[in-house]
Amino acid sequence: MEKFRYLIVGGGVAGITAAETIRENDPDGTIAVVSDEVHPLYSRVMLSKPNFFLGKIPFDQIWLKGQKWYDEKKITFLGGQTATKIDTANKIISLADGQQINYEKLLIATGVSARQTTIIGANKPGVHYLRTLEDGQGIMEAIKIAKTNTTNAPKAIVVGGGFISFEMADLFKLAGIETTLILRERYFWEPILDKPSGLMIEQVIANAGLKILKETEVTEITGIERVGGVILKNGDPSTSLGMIKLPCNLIMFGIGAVNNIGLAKESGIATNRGILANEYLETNVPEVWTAGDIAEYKDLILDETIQLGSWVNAHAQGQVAGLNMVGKREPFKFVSFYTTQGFGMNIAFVGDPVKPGTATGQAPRTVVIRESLNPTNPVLSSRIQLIVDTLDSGRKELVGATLLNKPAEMGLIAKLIETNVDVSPHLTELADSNFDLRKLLS
Amino acid sequence: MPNKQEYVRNREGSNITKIIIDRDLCIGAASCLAVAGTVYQLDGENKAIVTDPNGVDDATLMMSAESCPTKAILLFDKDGKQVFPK
Repeated sequence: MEKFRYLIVGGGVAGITAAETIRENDPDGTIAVVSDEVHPLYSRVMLSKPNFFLGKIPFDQIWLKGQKWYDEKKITFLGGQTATKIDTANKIISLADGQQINYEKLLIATGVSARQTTIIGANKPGVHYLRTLEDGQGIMEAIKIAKTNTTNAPKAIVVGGGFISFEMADLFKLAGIETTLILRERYFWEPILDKPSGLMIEQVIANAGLKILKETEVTEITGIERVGGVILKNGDPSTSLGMIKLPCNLIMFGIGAVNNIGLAKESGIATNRGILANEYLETNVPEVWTAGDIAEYKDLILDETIQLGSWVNAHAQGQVAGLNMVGKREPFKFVSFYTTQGFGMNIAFVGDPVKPGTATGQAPRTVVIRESLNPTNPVLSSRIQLIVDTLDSGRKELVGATLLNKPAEMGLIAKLIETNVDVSPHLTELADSNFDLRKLLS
Repeated sequence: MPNKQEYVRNREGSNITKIIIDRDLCIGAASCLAVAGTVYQLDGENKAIVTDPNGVDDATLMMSAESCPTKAILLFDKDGKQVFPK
């Protein structure tokens, strides 16, 4: 049986950053990475970016590490292999091809997968999701096919009110495809954003010429050999509109993520939504760590257990998990953030942006709005929600924020969260978009 | 004309003397801020800018460039040789 000192399950940015960090600190320890994808590390983030998708950036820019890098770092890459079982007592991992591998220290960074629909017609060609390189290539191909169909103008349906649907709707529009967005919610990005923020996003999408249908769902995908259209349920029974049918050539679902916790759960590793970990990213089983989108960990800054899916977070956790696997004792202390852009607008989430009323077990929360509105052009407007916790002592601290069109303040807000600044004397200033946030940091 | 912004670095003992941000590649993911918050900020266009090229040591600067999901940060040594991406 092959044996590695460090075994990493998951070849995404968390797993590979952990491998790199381990190698920097342990030049000789054997390292292997098991990945169900065949590719070396690539930029998942780039898959939904227009410049890449529309060929303005060379395709090869997507590769972040080549096989040569794994060879140079003496990291054994077992691509296209699925781990099926962990025997934590004997420290043995079983792979789908029957191979067994012995480890001393294990990292589970299995990430999340795109949630798939099960409605009628879900298996037809023309139904797309976006998570892997193959998914991205499939959509690129579908756009080409749709555009070469000269008998009808190509039409796309994008389902979902989050970042995948936001970025992909922008991309389809730029590719010259008539696009309709379908939301189950009452407004875009409900409930993380407040209604005015959601409506600002909808306005820029509508100004770009896209249709948005809210409070409705796709109930069936029609078409003979491939996608030909969708049937929608009208979410508002009082209108009695009944079913709506829309023709389309392709459908993109951005309806959330499924946590890949099966391997851990069946092996006796504690899970909730994700894989549970303490602030050192250790699971309940000795010598087993977790990192990345799948880790549900104790956040020291927010003092709560959270799970965050973002490139930045996965990279940062890979580093900390790697350090702890080589024997350091490094807590994960990081204000995470996520940014996206489309339709000339940029959106960012910082820390824990969950609003009052939707969070549980936390200090009383309030929201401070910091905005600058342009009455005619939403792209020139900005709106920030600052989420404030009131502690028992009466101190008020920022714990999260959502930012529309204000990227320059993201780093400052992250710093205010990280340094636990008491903002109780400054609530009026925070609400003034002209007030310089740097004054609270000095 | 490539949309690249150059920043000179002259930190004592450093082998990296120039940082370039390729603004066409930058998507404002801000992973560089997460690794080296003293060096980078996002500007009003959601692109990374360098506010202090000397803010961190070489290893941290290299990690910040490696963390970028679009390889928009290019690093050069004293001889003008590109050290990242290789």
